[in-house]
Amino acid sequence: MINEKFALIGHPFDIDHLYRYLSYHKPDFKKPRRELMLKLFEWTPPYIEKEVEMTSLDGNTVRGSIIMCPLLPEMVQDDTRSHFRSMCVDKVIAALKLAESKGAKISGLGGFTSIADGDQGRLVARKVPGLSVTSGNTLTAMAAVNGVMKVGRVLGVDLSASTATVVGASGDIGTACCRYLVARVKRVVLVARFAFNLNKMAEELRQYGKAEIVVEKDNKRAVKAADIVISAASSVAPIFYQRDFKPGAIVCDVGFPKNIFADYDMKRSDIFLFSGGLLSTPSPLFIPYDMGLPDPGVLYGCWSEAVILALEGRYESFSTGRGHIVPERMELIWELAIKHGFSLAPFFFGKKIWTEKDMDRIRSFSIEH
Amino acid sequence: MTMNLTKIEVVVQVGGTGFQPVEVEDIEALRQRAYAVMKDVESYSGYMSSVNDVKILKQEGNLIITRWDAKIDGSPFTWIQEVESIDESQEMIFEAVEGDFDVFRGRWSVAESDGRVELRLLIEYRLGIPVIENVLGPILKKKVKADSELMLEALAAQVSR
Repeated sequence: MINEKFALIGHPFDIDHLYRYLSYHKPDFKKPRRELMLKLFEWTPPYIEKEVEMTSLDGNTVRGSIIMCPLLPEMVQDDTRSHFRSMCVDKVIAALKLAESKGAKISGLGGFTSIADGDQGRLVARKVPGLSVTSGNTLTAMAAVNGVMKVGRVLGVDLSASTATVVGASGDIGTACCRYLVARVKRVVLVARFAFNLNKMAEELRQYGKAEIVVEKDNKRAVKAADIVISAASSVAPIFYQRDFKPGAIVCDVGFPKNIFADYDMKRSDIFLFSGGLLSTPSPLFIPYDMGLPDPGVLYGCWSEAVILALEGRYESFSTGRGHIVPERMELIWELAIKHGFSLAPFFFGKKIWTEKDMDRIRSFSIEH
Repeated sequence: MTMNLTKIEVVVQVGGTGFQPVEVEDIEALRQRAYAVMKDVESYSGYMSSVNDVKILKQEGNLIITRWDAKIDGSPFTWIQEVESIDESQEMIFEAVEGDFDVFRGRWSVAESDGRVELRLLIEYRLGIPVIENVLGPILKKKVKADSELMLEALAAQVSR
């Protein structure tokens, strides 16, 4: 028996992505001017984009909806127009109500839909008490650190002797990654846009592991010295160039949109740069338009978490509120992911998919540096 | 993917609904005045709040080409349209030849009903944006209709001045 059980709420990562999405539906459509397109998108209410299904390793199938929440990161982060933020919050609430009306029992908040309310979906979820709402950040963070650790193993990097920099360290995903890494690396460098929180966070992190904790104010300096970088900043535009990292560095970009300039072309052949926080799914979702993913069998961690909880029949707001993710919960959601046939996604960045040959080349840089 | 045209028709009486019908002998004069004000498109921006600018780019007999810079719910829309004025029936038939709409056409007209002079505006439009247009449809229609009513009310007020 197949039941409607989950909803995945998302949005384009920028105006160009929106144009590409619309072009998929009508390749010859005349693109409106940017200003007009943004206004029309602002006026558009959330809508069901597609019905999807996911079948677990155990054969159980759940059905769900992908809901377009018509907002762009630049609207959420636009500090010059305060009404934008409140409009985005209203749209997320409307999207959740739409999910509930479609019979969803749990909803995953993708991208900026979880940060619009400033509390990782906790405040918007209150408006829809009959629906469990998860930001998916627990699984995203676990997939990011698992990705880094896997690359480290493959490249022969001794993590316990490594310096790991977490960009966006005070954010929900960044904090979770820090808590996990302090028990596994030599030094954790914290860097964030609002650095005033970081000293307090450094104190708090000591309960999770013995790594040296360093608070850094300069983004570029923080990543230049790092063997491992997890970049999880909620930024509307890239904040790093590929030249900012040292040779041999393992760089995991969890940003949506991406934190690191790609130009969809790998310019550095001596760093291992990959899109993190992603999972391979037990069955493909067949979303036909560009989602920033390499194939239909790869899904964002934020959405995967909601699907896994639906497959598990565990309708709870697993990741909600800011700063509550702890390593035990990360390991729990990972166990559930594996149980249902999810696994770490293949390593890629932009259009570049990593091969064994690439890894051999980077291994030589890791050893040299 | 087929996208249908959205059709809007608004009607406003000259003198407003609270006035007594005008004398029969005055009706023709009022119609003529209303039509003259309607045809003076370059003056619209002076009294229609949603019109920033209308400029006649070309004129040949009863045909004009105009460039419009207007607002829908405060947001700028621009287009160039061909307009044919038919003086006998007191109407102006327009169709956009370029601009923000995939299709934008319709008719301004002056008519008479129950001893009153009416200003009418018929618009058919399509933005041509896939997916979003279907979802946005009812909301956009409401906005276009509201602005069309404001334009006609401003026109009616100008006729009554």
